[in-house]
Amino acid sequence: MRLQEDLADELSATGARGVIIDITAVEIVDSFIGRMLTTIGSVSRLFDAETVIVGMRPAVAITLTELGLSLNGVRTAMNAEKGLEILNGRS
Amino acid sequence: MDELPIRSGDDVVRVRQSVRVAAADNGLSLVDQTKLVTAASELARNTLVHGGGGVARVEVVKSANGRNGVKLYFTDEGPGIADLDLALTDGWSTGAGLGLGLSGARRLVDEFELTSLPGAGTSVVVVKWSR
Amino acid sequence: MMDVGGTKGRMAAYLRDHHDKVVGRWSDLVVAGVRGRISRAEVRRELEDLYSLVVRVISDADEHADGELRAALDELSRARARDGFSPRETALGVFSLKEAVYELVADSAEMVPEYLLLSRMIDDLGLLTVEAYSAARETIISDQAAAMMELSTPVVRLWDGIIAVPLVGTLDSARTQLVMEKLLDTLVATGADHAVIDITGVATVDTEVAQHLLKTVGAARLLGADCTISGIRPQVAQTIVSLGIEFGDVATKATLADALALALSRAGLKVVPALWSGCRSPRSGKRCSSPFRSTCRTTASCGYRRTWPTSFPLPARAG
Repeated sequence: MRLQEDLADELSATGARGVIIDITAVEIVDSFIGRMLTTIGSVSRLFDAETVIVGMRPAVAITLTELGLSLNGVRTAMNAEKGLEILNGRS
Repeated sequence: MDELPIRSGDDVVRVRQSVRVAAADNGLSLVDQTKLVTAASELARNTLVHGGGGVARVEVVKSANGRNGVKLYFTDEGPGIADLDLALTDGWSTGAGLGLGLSGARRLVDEFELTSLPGAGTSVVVVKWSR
Repeated sequence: MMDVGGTKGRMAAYLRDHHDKVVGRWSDLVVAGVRGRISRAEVRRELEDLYSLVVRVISDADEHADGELRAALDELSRARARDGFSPRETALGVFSLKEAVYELVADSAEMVPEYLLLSRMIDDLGLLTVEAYSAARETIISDQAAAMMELSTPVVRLWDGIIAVPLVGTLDSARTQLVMEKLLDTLVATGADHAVIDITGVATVDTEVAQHLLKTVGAARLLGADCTISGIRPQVAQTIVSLGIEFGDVATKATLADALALALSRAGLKVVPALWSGCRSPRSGKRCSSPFRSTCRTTASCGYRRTWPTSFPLPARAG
């Protein structure tokens, strides 16, 4: 997937320690998208970067919980600002 | 009744859009709309990936006590499912993935009917009512 | 064997021919029944509409007449229900059309089949009004239940970034959906990072309730919020253990106060005794150097005895 490839390239090139994925504008997260997000988390970890997903909509969160989808390997935060706090908190 | 082909990833997107419109037009709350569209996405993808492609239908229905609802049909002529009970338990999957497809989708809707025979295709019919 | 078509036609014709008399008598009977709660003119208007619909249905004039009559009766029943009439009163109002017609045909034996036809039709319409009344009450009850559920699920702000959901009553799947929606919407609206779900008021905590709680916590975590469950009563704790329910990494506390303390500490906050700001000497204008009220030196340098608040007039003191 384009996003994953671009991300891997970027992480490799910059040595970034953190990734913030903003899904404020995402209305639907099904298991396909869920898989994509956890895969991104795994790829990032290979580059020693942590991934934080921010801006999940309440309706999406409720649906994901009902679906039984657990986003393993990624953290979640309310917004990019809080996401940064989490990433900066890493020693 | 709207009939939509499911032959590609773009078709799955079109199914989502169609379901979203039907849900919004028939009084489903935002959360219920999200649940139905997500379920539709799961089922459409199943039809595409496991059923070798198929067809989706979107129908507006009315309950006995006058509530509006949206009924979705997903049919394919694929290999079919041999063990229905197994298919509906969490964690089942024939391919790589989270294996949630059917059981997860079932939790998102009010009514769920799965018919499948090996070699005779699969049909999933779901309904979500407005409150 | 009744010649239904002919009978219907004759009844329809009779009703048309005796329109004023029948509607007039019907109005009298209905007005007597409503006992002043509706004006005569209003009653007459309503009955005129119904009468013409009844005639259309009997004469098989058009296929829409039946639907329209049912809709009109449905609307009438709901209006009457809203105005406090019992279903019996509304039904009797419909049945009195039979009486009005009967009074006119009683003496002529030839109208018997026609009257029977009308009678059966009106019985059916009367029952319709009762069904409509029931349906209207059902709607009111379910609306009230929804409102009650909405009201009994408040989400309150305990502190900056800390919100609480005090649950009272049962926690079934419908309520859980509502709790999740309100909790998450409030998290977004306030930007809170901590939520305390208090279950002191939840009578029974079984496996299902525990699952609902864990679901709610899971949803809140997807929005980056930390959750604590408080209000675990001793009996509840025993039930949870005996059922083998695992709360995993979700913190649980006995009281809301404990949960608040935990949330505060997670937020990097601490509660300490307030620093006393000290009194100001009226003579030197200097502040008392003691940081705590308890160690304040009530000496000449301060000028007067410490009391809180210091709004008393200064006693005269010698230098």
